[in-house]
Amino acid sequence: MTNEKYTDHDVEQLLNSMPKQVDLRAKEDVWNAIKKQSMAPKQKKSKPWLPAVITVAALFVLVLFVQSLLTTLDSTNMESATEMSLNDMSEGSSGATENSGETADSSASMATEESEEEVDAESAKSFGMQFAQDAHLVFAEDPLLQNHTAVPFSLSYQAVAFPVTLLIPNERIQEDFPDGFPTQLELYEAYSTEIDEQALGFDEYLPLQGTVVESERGLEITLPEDHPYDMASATSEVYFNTLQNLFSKNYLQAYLLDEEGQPLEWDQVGPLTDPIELSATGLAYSPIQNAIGEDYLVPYPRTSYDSFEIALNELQAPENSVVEPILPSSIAYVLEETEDTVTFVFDETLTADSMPRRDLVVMIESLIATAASFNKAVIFENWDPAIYPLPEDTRSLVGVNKIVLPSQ
Amino acid sequence: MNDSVFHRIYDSYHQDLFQFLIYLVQNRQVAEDLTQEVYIRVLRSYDSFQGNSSEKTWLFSIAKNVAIDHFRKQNVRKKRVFDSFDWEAIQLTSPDMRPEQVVQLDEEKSQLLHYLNSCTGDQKMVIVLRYFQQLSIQETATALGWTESKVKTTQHRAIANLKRFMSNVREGEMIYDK
Repeated sequence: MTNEKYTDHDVEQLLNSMPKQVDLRAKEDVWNAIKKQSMAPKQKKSKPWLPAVITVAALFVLVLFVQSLLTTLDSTNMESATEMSLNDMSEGSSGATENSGETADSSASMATEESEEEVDAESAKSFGMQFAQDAHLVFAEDPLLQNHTAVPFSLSYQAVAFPVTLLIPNERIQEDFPDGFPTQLELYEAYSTEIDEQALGFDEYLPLQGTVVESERGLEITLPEDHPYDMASATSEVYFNTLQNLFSKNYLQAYLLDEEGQPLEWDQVGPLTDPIELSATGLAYSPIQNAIGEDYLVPYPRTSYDSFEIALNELQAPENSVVEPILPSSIAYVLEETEDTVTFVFDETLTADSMPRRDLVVMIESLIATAASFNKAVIFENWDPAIYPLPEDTRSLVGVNKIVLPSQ
Repeated sequence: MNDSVFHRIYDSYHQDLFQFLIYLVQNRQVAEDLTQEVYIRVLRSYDSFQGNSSEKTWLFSIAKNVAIDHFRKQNVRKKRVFDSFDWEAIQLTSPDMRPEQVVQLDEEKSQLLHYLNSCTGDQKMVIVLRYFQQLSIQETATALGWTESKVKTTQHRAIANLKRFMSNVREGEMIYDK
């Protein structure tokens, strides 16, 4: 055999003869190690630096969100048993907007001169500012949408496609597209080259290779012969998920074609004669950090669950270590579900002190985004609404992971 | 933590799980840690195991996810996504331990293990499950969440790659001998 080339049989025989590997530890040692490992706290990634664009955007969002907080809470204070804290929030917000030069006439009229309330207002303002810093979601009520357009987008980090919502100033779109409002495809093509992915803490992935055109049947994507997207299951996954993130809200299907216009031959799959389904519902959103330690809500794994309850189980006990459970076991609740709503009735009042701020916001937003994926609104009972200004109907969610593009 | 479930799974599958992971990561310490991680996930989700597949393939599917998460984490500092492609294609290996440290192997087997790391991640997992764990095509497909035809294709390509690598080495040796 040594003078010949290897055959399949030779290789298979060699593989079959590989020695058994044995764990030499005693069973008790393994069990003790498991108990120790399961109790070890997860390491948090550090945040070495923040890109200037994010800092600027965060400050901008901060100002407007405090105002948003005010508006939302004003509209609900007549209905809620927590009228006092809502008024406090309004008062606090007015101060923030005055400082920034924004108008806040309605909230200013709510202000009183009692020192106790001023303290409460300061506290509420603090909540509002924290919320603005931590918020990932864009709702239809977002005041930024008065002069920005929300555009679904996608960024990529470590072979995970992150859905993001770009808020592009309307005046900028008008300048870039003087002949009329662009399609989602045109917006993607115009702005995908302008996103500094590395500065935002992501891998350089956009723009996608190939050409994309709209047709009557959906999107038609022509990829070059040497495209890298089918090199492995992970590359396929991130590519298809990116297409979903970018186009699912505007297009139902995408057809992948080769340069001859024929169904694309996908490695290990064969010709893609069936279109790629772009719509995705029943997703469970968990937080994943990017390269600079920022939290983003990502449906990971990209699985469509049959019911909200099953998705919630995945959020509580993910079957992977990429994402963390969002609901700590210390937060007990009863879930009530109807066709349109999911209600969380907390056993103990959920307050700003119930858990770390970041975890609290992530939990609330993850539940909202997941429920919205089932077209259900989230209602919380036995909680302090001051910790997060829920819109009246959380199905007004426009997108997750807000990124504000500067004017120019 | 349910220790009775642990004891039963340990008695039935522990060495299989360990072997699967050590051949994938080729580092005993890492394999031990990952095996423990598999148990943690298994114990956490055992109540939700529906029995749609065999317990063994369910365990391997969890072990596969644990291994992929491990390699994903290893690539934290990769700057470009195309490096992640390499993760799947080439870097499904722990570079801090040479194969001969895993087990005393003869030269031929040592080379085989070395070239296994040159296969893609998908190919490597199929080889480990099919040849080292002796899983059937169907069991492998269930454990990896693939179709049987994908398992067959991937296995075929992996064997072809290994055959090519090993033949090149032999050819080189023959030239050297001459």
